Amino acid sequence: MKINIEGVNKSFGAKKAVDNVSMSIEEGTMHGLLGSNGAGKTTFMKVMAGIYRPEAGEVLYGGEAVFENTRVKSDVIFIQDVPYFFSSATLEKMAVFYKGLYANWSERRFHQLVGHFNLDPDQPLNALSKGMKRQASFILAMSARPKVMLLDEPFDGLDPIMRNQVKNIMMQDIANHNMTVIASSHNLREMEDLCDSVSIMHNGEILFNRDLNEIKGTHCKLQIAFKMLPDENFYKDIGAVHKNLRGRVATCIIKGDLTAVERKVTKYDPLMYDILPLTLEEIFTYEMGEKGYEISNIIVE
Amino acid sequence: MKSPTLLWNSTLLRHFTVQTFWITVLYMMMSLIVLPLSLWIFSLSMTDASYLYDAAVFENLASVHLVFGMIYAAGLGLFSMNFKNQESVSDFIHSLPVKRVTVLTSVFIIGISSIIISTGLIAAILMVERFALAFELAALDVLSWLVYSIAVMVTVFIITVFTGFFTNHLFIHLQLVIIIFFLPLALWAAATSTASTMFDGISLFQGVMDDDLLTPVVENTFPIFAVMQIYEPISWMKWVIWAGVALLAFILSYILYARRQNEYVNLNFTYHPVRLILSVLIVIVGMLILGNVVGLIFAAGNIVRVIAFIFAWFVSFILVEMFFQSTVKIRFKVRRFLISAGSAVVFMAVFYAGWNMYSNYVPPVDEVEAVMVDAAEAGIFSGYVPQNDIMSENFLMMDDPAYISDVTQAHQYAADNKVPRHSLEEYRIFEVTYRMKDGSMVHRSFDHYPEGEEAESLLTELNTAGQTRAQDLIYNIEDDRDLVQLSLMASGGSALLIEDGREMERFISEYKEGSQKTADAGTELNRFASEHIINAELEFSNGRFNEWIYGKVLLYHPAVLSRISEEQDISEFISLAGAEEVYAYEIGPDDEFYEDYRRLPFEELALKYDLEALGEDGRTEVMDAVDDGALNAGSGRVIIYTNLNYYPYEGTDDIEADAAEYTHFIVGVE
Repeated sequence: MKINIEGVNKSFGAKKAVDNVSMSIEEGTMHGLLGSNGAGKTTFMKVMAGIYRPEAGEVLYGGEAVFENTRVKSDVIFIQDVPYFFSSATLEKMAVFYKGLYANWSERRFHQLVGHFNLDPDQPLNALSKGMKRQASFILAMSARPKVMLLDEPFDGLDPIMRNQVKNIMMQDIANHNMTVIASSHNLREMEDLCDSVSIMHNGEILFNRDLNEIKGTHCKLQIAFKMLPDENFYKDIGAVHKNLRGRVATCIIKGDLTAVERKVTKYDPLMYDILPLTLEEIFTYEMGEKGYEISNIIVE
Repeated sequence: MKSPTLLWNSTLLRHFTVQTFWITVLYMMMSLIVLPLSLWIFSLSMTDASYLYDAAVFENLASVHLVFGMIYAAGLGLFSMNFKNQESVSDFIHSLPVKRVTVLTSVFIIGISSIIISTGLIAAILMVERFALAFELAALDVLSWLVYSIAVMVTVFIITVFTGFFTNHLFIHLQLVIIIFFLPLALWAAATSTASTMFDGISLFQGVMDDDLLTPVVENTFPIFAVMQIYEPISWMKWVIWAGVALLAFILSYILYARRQNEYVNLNFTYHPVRLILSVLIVIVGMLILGNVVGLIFAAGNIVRVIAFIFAWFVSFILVEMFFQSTVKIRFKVRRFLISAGSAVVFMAVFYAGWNMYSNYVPPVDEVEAVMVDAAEAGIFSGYVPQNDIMSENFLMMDDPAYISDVTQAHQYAADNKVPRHSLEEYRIFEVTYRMKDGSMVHRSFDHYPEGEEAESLLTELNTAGQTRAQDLIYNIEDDRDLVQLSLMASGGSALLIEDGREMERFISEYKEGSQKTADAGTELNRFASEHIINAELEFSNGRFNEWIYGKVLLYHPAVLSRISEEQDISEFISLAGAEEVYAYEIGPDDEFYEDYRRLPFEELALKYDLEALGEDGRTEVMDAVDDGALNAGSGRVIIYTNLNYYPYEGTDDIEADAAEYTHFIVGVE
């Protein structure tokens, strides 16, 4: 289900929590929504989940607005940063509740997932640890077989093994059922391996929204050492958009035709060089720096 | 079930049922104890005499049950709507594929059906139980109770749900429910009671014809109205209004929910202006109550009273903020403080000017149709005007223009010479009720009628033969068809009962014919007799149960004397036969004997008028004359004799308690 977000605004009194956000997320992809605490990610996610009504703009799933639209909402599941369960509810009771509300609920998948995560379906959920609650919420959400899953800080509280299991199951649904996932996080490295596209939110605005594969095909990192550092013409020549010098070692981010980089570099007779793909953090450092933001001020981890 | 077009959702219905299950169980347990179990225990412990009260037993228990029922209905509303009070639950519920209209409809369906099913089960138990009770409990009574209880509880439930849309906090929701039902009463009661201690002339409770200042607000406060209706004929007009209110609240609930902004779930109040208005009003209520109490405790003058109100306002403001912010560590907002303070100042200015005008108002004579006066100091006691079809509308009311004019003069004097109300000592009550030509009523009640010659003479003018007639219970019977019994009762304990309808009709007719003549014969002696020696009682049926009216009757009326003598000696009836001492006195033309009799202790009276107790012969002669019907209100010869039923007040220096009027009876004898 393709998601189109068109000029969404959401304010809390005078403070704009979401400021004129527009983006498009393709079906069957995973989108990472990054930003520090207070950036507006959760508010934006709640607007996307149809919990909050936007003051302006629309969130469209397959062309239909989500707010007060049960047809859309039955295909969209939102998992909060702190999963909610009714008081004294067990996983089994919550499953009955979900089953009554989500048309695509799969009992078979529910039991499979309960077995896989080894949770007791009759144990009161509020007595579980934070990580186990998150597993339970994930089981419920996946069993409802949504077309879109909205995850607010999805891996918080999960141990590394569980993280991988959750990621694997999610990826299977993305691959096999074209499920679309939007996950908010302040953890860049976590998103790097999962997401097809990412956006950065800061003060309610989307500062950056890109397809990662596209970036990786047009950007690379060059680490190069010289007997004597070259002049500025070198950096212009190789298309460096950002450079960092340490002694006689230069680290550059290069944008453009990556196939010609090696040829141009060797002309300057370096002692050694290495061409590496960019990490997410490096992409942001470059992109955000261009817009006058220091990435460290926006994303903590 | 999963269709977006449905107004309810079975999963949500199940969810809300589970949420409110235990509160419903609690209500049923309480209902079982209050109704079936209590009725059963009453039935088992019933004596023959208790049969008299069985009609009231079910009503009394039903009223107690209704209080629990209303608390249950409010609880249902509070807990059903609790899902919107916490961010995590609110977000979860609103992320589900259900529309808000479905959520709210589910709340209403579960709330209303819980009320109907649980109360219906109690009704079913009562229907079975009634066959085993020692007294009769009609099936129709149980069904009426069921329908009525459900109507009341559903109304409370709907209003509670509606109130929930103004807050996002369970405890504040509870406060708002109490506020919405009781704030008008609290505000009005605080304003009137404060005004009545600041200004003399304000009638809080002593008003007549259910038309005092407080009663209309008390009777229209829904929980009180609902309980009172159990004992009264259904007021369909008021019920139509309350049903309209409930319907409006029901519709507005959907509108408010549709407009609800989930993002403000962490704010205690959804609408800031509502919070501000409620806060201002409650602070004013607190200011009035606390300021009034402090003023009374210190018997304060004006300056101390103003300080008391300022102090009370500040304390109330802090308390309200604590409640509304749900913390004792309040956030102090200057704007809120200034608005509240400004509102209190404006309120007090209007309050003072309004009540001052109210207590100074004396209606123009030409706009008054009839008037009723209570002036204890002048010996004028009118009492309470009963609301029924038995008595004429002029009972206790005087429509003589000259009398109305005299009353307005006395009233004007009282209004112009108000005694400062710094303490509640020295009562001299003067109450006046005008029935205006436009049909409205005007009441004023002075606790401190001014003293002095002019004040006294104005009051004395009001004590007339016309007043005696207006206060006469039998003279003012309008329609005797529902009368069950007419009694003439002496203060000594003798009673003459007339139960036969025709006999009653004949007696009333004879009484009315001769009343004018007897009343005109002697105002003072008639009044003393009807206040201290004899009174009348009417028992009548209101269609559901019997009621009683008490009032004055003319002892000297030939029909009364004849009736007494048919049953017993008149001297015995009026307690003359057993009197310890009997005195006789011939009243001279310039004597102030009656005035002194009313004011002086008997010892002083006897000394001043040289009264000597009659010997055995004298007593026999007087009693024979009385038994022969020689009592006469117009006679100049009076007999004063000991009141054996008088018990002196202990621990009081109140001279009125020991006045001859109370210790000795007086009658006129030819």
